Amino acid sequence: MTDVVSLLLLAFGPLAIGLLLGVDRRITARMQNRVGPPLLQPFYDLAKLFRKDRRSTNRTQVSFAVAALLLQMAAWCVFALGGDLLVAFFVSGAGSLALALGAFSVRSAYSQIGAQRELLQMLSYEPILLLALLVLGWQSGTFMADAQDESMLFLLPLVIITFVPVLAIKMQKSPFDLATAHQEIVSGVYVEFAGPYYGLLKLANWFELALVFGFLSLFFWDQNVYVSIVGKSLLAFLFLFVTVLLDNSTARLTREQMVKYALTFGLGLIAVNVLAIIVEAAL
Amino acid sequence: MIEGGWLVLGLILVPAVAALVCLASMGRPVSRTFIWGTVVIFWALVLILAGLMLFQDVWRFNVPEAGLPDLNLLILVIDLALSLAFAYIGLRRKNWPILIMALLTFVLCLFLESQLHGGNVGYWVTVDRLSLLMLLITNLVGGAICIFSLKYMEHDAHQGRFFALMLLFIASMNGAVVSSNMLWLFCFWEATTFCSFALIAHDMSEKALKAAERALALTLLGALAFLLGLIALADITSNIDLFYLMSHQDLIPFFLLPLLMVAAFTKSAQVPFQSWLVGAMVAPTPVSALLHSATMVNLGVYLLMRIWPWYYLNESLTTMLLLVGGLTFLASSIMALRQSDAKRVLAYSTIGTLGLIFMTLGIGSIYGLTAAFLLLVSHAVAKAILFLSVGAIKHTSGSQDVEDMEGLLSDRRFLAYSIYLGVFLMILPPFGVFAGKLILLEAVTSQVLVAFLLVIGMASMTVYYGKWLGRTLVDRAVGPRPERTDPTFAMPLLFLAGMGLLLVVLTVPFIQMFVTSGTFTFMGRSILPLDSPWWELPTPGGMLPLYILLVVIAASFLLLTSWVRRPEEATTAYACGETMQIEIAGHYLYSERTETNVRTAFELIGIGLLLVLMIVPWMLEGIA
Repeated sequence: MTDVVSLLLLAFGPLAIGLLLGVDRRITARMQNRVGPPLLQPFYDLAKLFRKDRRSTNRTQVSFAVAALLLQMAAWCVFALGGDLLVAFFVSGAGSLALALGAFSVRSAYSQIGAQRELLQMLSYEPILLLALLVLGWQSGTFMADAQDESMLFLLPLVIITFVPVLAIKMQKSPFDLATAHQEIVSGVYVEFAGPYYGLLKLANWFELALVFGFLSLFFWDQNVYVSIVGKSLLAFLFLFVTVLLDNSTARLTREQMVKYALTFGLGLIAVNVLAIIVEAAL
Repeated sequence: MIEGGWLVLGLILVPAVAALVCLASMGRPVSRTFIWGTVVIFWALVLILAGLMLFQDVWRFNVPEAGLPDLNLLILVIDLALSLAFAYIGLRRKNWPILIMALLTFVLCLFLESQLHGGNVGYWVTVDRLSLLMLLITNLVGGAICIFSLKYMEHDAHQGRFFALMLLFIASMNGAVVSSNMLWLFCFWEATTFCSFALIAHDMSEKALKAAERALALTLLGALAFLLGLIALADITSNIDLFYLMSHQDLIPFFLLPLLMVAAFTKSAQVPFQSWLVGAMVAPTPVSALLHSATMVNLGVYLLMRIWPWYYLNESLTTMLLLVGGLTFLASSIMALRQSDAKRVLAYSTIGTLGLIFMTLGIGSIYGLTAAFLLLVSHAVAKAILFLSVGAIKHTSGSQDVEDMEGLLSDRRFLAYSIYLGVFLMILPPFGVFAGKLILLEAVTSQVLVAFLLVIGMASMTVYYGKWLGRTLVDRAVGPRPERTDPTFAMPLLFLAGMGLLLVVLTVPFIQMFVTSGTFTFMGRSILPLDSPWWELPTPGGMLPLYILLVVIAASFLLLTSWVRRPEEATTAYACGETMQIEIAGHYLYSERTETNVRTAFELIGIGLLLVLMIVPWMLEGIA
């Protein structure tokens, strides 16, 4: 049973993310009084990208695009096959670094600024996500993805909330969409990638999002498999909705603000939650 | 293992005698063949020793004192001579703290001797797997650095003195890690202090002398703590053999442990003593490489790894290790974000990694010890590669600033690749440093609040290394033609790269050989039985799939090159229709003024922590 679930997860995780991004575009459109694209638009976009001519400014750039995708896929596999959460997290982090390095390798103002900002984004979300995972492992007693069988909704509510800035950064949403701000730096890190190479990075982002939503879904669990799956999906949709809402109601932060707010907000919430648990245990 | 005794003697005497020969040739350039010969001899010695111990399954051997000449007097004379030398330096440079501390060391040495009156230590040397590992690191990495220096210091006026000190440093390090008698360990400890002082001051500029004095003052403070600890110990027993005390832990006075910890913190540059290692960056690059990877800073770690069984169950001491290490890691990672000088980036990274090692020792389980071994050896190799690469770049381009390394990949492909390898060994999963960090992170959940000290540092490490790599990757449309790397630079780098890669592939056998119940016999438990699979590494709460990740990383580099080779049209970068040239610079997050404030704040917290470390045991002891 678990093997089947793992394999299904492995294959359908990124597909589900494609669908989720379609939903995201629809919700965004509705919030802006538009109709929006079809639900499968992200898939059409991706397919079209891969049919385009291959053009790049140098080889290094392309190498890093491939590396980014492979690392994100590896991270997702570690997670979906029930492996170590922290290993998945760090491999995915290496994938993000590969994206920034690919952007660094081009002598373009927008790409360079984007890459610097990408690094600052890593500085903003990685500590939060890592700490959230550490606290999860602390409470469940293991870091294996397939052994997380406890619902943390009421135990770690504040820790779950810290996924909001993480998702905003990973989904390139305001107020944290610094590295890809299209109005300022014409998509930043992605500006020099075109056609199939851009497609690779899009796909890498899907795998990365699958991992982050996967982490989020670990916080809900129920003995009944179906309740478990429905609960996990609801949690994912709830956070998607909150992220989209934030995207449409906030303005982009500056670099320094992003690091400061994300870290104080994220680490602060987790600290409160952890202290509450410790105090309660002591009483 | 009578042959083992000779090999160890050779490892101390060969570099020491070679150092004297170098010194004798003062003024004249040192013969390349001579240095090569010396290095090859001690490489051979250490490899034979390793071969004997690993393949004959020897976990530990001693050279008994009985029947051999009494060397205690010689050791005392060396100790006193070094103290006087330090006092002279203090007097000459009008640095009163150094003078006072040196004189105190002199007096305390004599006092200690009068208390011990010779002592009745049973062994000259004891070599176990921990000593063997330290010997391997010091000699293999140290030897590679010596060979690198042949080219780097080619035109130096004081080559003889330089090589003499480098070799003496290696000899003292070898002596320190095999000493059974704590008095001998202290003597070699002081010898490394002397060598590091003299090497940092090598070019005799005012800046170098200032940095060297700071290093001397802080490490002398540690030496004083060490001596006080020994005096407290001698008060109880006259047998101060490390291994005798392992089986008589009831004899160990509690005060000894915090004092030895302070000594280790100064040697390994933990907050608030970190400033000497950063200042030491004025020294020639091979010296930095030696201090950071093969010798000096490892000695503090070695001491605490050696006496780990004495304190690993003591909660107040392990908590202190977690806090000091964690604070150091956090402080160094934040400060490294601000640096643009590559050597300073590396210095802060070393300080941070040492902090991580102290944290792993504070975990108090065999997992923590495993992580400490992994971090120690992988960090040594990675840092040697990074420092030597920076040295080679500076030698040809005259600059070691990260911002000046733009386009390194197109100009000096070999050095760029060696920097990438070094950085990957430091940050990329599943390489050794990463494996150590992973174990630490998972184990630290037992003290969940400590995790808050770790998370920011983990991310900023990726950021400051990423920023550096980013600068080297920028392609330059017009620029100098690619330059070949001098073979004397390339050879040590290739050697170290081979070592680093071998270590990654052999992670599991490495742990089985070095970190098992055999190393610390009283532990009786190993995380990796001999029949455990070699493709994955168990961690406290999970599993690191070593080989799967290695395959992915290998694939990222192999598969893609063949795919990219296909002809395609190259485009120019998008610039919104503008045609002007752009200048690229890194982003440094905060100002220099903030950096000073941050450093001061961390140092104050560090001093506070140390005061607690010194006072609380006394109070607890008083209550008990």
